[in-house]
Amino acid sequence: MLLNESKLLILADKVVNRYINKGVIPSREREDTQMLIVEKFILKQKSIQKNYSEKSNITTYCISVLNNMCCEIIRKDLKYWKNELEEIPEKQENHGLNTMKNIIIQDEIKYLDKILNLFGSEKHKIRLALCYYYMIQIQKQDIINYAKNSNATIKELNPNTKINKSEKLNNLAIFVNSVENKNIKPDAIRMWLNKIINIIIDRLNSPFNRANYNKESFLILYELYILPGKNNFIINKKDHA
Amino acid sequence: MLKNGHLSDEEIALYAEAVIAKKVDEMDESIRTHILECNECADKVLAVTEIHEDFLDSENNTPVKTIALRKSYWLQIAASIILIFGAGLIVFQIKKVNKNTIQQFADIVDSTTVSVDSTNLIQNKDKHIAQKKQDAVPKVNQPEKTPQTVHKNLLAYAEDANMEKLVDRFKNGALRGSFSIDSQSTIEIKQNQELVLEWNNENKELLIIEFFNNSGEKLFEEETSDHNFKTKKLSTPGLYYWKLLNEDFDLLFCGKIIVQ
Repeated sequence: MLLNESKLLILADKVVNRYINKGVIPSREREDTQMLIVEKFILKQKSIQKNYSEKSNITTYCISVLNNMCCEIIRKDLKYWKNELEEIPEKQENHGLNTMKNIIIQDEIKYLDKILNLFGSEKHKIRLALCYYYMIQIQKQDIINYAKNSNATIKELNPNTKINKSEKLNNLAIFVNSVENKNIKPDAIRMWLNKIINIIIDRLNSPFNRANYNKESFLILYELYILPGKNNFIINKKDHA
Repeated sequence: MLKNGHLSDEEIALYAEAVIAKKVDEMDESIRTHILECNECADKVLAVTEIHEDFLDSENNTPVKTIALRKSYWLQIAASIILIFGAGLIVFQIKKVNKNTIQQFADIVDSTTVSVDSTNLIQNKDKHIAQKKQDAVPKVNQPEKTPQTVHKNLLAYAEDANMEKLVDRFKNGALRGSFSIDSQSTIEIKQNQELVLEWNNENKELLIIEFFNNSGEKLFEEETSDHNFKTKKLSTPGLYYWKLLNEDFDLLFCGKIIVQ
């Protein structure tokens, strides 16, 4: 047996709970979904065990399997749940709404950080480039993290300077080239940055199209992520619309 | 990778572990590229990362539950002892009176909840102790990879910021001109494998080698005038650092050791 019964139930609960929190599974379906994935897991136990080569931790592996099973159920039943999820009326009263909003924003910020962690050490470069591109105050630690092994100058990356998009990309190219000792053109930086922004937005909207982020709303979230607690934007967001 | 062009469940699990341990860069290049391009697999990694962290958080809270369980366990034992003692005392008292009363009492005891409860409690206690013994045996012989041990393992490889700075400084070798290091900046060895550190000590100077754990705490130090130093002391898997100093305590080199 890969897992004992109680641990299997705990893990199945954690898996289902994640999708309930993301608004993908209606909370009243919690127990049914949980039981379905536990049943699937027990029935397929032999093949699950056979596919396990002990490279990863057994708990992580089982979470991965259970998550896959849960996603299969969601794909199958989402069309029935969707109506139910959409029917939930939006709260009109202000009571407790701000607290609720804050919790949701904090969750989204944490989720964005996890998405950026998927990039490994490239995260630092992405953080820095996005800050400069969106003219958000650059954090000293980001510069240290990205350019720790180089003598690259950061005078080009002064966020207070009012410059246009092409100048920004040009400066970014100079900076990246000096740190990485490459010869990247500003256009390549533009394409890379666009690709990264699109990847992040796609991941923020996942799983199962749970959100509807676009470049504007992503900018707002990103600013809250970099400067938590700051409400005033350093630049006019219309410049980037 | 699987035939359908996506990562397997185990590769997803491995990547999630790497994200938690902040060691994504150590993952295979092809897997990293795939995660960058494939939203489906990236979603799965994110899910497993979140769920695993959630699970670790809840596991970290279990000691409180264990203490609570232990409390109730001891209360159960105490209650059963009191009940047994009480029942015994009553029987003793009644025996003194007369045989008829004993017979009557026996009838009463059979039908009272007190005697039933005490028997149950004793049985429960025995079961509990037997279960505990059973549970304890495999834990000693077969250490399971519990989330706590995983967490501990991950911590054993966490880098120390100050030591890392030093390692970076000496990445291209020793700073002193006449002295050269033959060992690499990062040495990887397997558990219980002998560690060999090498340098070029032409003048046969007295050198001090210091070993640190991944929190920067000194573990032990050795002296040598040789060109190398061998030890088997670093047998526990984890990240370690070593410093080479001369007689005047000038730092000649700092490197790191990964025991797998």
